[in-house]
Formats: sequence, structure tokens, C-alpha cells
Amino acid sequence: MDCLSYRREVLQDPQSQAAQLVGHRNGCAVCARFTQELQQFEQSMRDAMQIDAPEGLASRIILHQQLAQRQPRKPVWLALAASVLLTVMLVFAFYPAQVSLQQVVLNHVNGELKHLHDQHNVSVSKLNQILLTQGTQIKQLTRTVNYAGACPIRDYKGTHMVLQGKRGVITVLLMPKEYTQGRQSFRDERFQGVIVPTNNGSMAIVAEDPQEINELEQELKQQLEFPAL
Amino acid sequence: MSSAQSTFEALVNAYSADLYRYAYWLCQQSNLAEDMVQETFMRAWKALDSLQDPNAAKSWLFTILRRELARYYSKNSKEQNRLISYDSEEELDGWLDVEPGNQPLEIWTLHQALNKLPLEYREPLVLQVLGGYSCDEIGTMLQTSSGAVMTRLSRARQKMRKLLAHDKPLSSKKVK
Repeated sequence: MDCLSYRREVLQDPQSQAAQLVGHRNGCAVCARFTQELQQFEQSMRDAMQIDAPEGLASRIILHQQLAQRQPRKPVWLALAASVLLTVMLVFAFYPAQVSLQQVVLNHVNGELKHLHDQHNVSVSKLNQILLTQGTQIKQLTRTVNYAGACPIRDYKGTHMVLQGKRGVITVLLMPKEYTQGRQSFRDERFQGVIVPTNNGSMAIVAEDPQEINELEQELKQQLEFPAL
Repeated sequence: MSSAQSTFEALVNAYSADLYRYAYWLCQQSNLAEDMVQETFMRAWKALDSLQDPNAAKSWLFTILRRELARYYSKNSKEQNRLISYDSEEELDGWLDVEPGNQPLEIWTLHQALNKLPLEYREPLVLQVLGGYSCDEIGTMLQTSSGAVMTRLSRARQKMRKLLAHDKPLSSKKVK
């Protein structure tokens, strides 16, 4: 085996103990030194690649999975009763909510983490096309809209937006017909959020940085409109 | 706790850190890496029945992660890494120009060099050095031949050395 072939092979796998490779370097001082340097380099690279995982990562993953598990399912007998005897409206009028709105919001955000990285740069007019279907409009925004879409939330369509803040991104969920009283704050391991009433339902604002939430809340309260349909 | 739940938690505790590292070296952003690991485990939870062999769990998770990242990049195409092709074989000799008995490389310098390495070289390198996978196993995971993997690994190391040599003075004596 010549030196060039040796070096090519050992560069593929410096830890290899193949007889041919061992034989060559035992008889060739230059390639032996090459191999020694290479193996030191390998160790440095291994050390450099062993970055720390974020603290609490495993706990967050398990928490996320458990929250997703607790989505309510309608009991089979209720679904049957509805199709035979009751209208859909009657079922929702008598069936008590099992999951709080705060949990619904957190589940939604945690279930669509991808959108936190979107950069679609949605224009206000495009955003308003989506909002119009829910009886809402926005006058203007100082922030960039990274993502906007109509999303199923519980049994209706809401609007899911991700806006660019100063220190991170902020999720806004507009939830028409979700009538709440007063302002609610909540959090999970990663996010903080508020839910506030709007003219036609509620709005949730979720971010990692609470200051971002307060600033955006004020802006949205001024800029959201609810034209009569 | 159901046995599926305890299996799931065991997988998370055993592999979430490794998956995070792999995701980080692929996408080079810590928040995105964490999100990708979350998505990976959610998919793993839904598909837990399909994991038959516990020894294959780690590769199975790595494969799901790769798919999640590919899916992410296909939706956010302007974030995709641009691949630089690299063909020169002359660099092999350049290796021996560096003086023997070097100081151990600073971790930070290595991070910089790893982040500059094109993805097609960085990915198999991380799988081999960090993951300890063989060329055959890497070929299966990257859906390519082990021969192609070996070429990429060799070039990855040459490229790393070249990137690092820019920071160090080279001895002028060329070794035959």
C-alpha cells in the first residue's frame, strides 16, 4: 500500500484497525506521524462536538407529550346521541368543557412550534383576507408578520399569527366566539401568555419574553377592528 | 404509567441530548434544534408501535429527526445551507506542512470551523465522530452508498484541516 492510499483511507476512518493500514504505518514513520496527528485532531473534534444540551430538555419533551395526550375526546355515546337526536348546537350547549382555554392555547402553540421559525413576511392586506372570514380586521402593525393562517381551535376556526418582536417572536391566537371574562395570565416551562376578551371573542398572546406580550397587547387592542358583517 | 409511556420517557431520557447535538450541528441554531427534537419525539410517540428492535431506537430517532429537518427546510427554503463543492486532492500534502506537536485546538476555533463546513461533509462527520456510526450505517441513514460516505468523510477532514490552517502559521518546509 502506498502512502497516498494509506492517508486517503485513514482519513475516512482514523480509528480503523484494518490490518493493511496498521501494517503500513508500522513500517512508515511519516504516515505514523500523520496518523498520530489525525487521531489527536479526532479527539479534539469529538470534544468540540459534545456541546451541552439545554437544561431541562428531557422534562420539556415529556411535558409537551403529556399535554398533547390530554386533549378531550367526545365519548362515543354522545356522538351517537347527537347524530340521532340532537343538533350540533345542543351538544355544545350541554357538554361541559374539559380543557381550559389556557391549556388549549398552550397545546396549540406547542403543537405548531415550526411556525415560530417561519419567515413568510405576510402583508397586512393578506392578513386581513384571513381575518375577514372571522369578522375581524387590523388597521396596521409595526411588527413583521412571520406567519399567519386560519387554524382549527376547539371546534371553530381562529387565526394563528407569529409576529416578530424585539427580542424574539410572539404568537397571537384570535379566537372568535370564545367568550372570556377579564384578563388571564398563564405559563408553561417555556412560554408565558395572556388571554384577553375582544369584541367577538378572545385573543391569546404567547411569547417567551413577558415584556414583548405587554407591548404587543397594547398595540393590538388599538389596531384590531370588528366590522359588523 | 402505561408501558408505552415509560418506554417513551426512557427514550427521551436516553437520547434527547444526543438528538439535540445532532440537530444543532445540522442546523446550527439552538432554538431550532430544540424545536426539531420536540417534533421528533412527538412523531416517535405516535409511531412507537413501529419500533420493534430496542437496539435500533437511536438510529430510528435520528432518521425521524433528519426527516423533520428536511421538512422544515423545504418550507423555509431561504434558510437552506448552500453546498460548496470541493474537489482538490492536493490538500492531502498540505496536512503535513503543519508542525508536529501542535497545541490542542481551542474548542471555539473548532466550532467555527465545523460551522463553516458544508452540510454534505458536516453531517456524515458528526454521525461518525459523535454518533459512532459505521460507514455502512451512515450510508443507510443518508440513503447513499458507503463508498460515497467514505469519500465525504475523507474530504470533510481535509476541509476541516484547511479551515483551521487559516488560523495557524504554516511551516514552509514541505514534507515529501
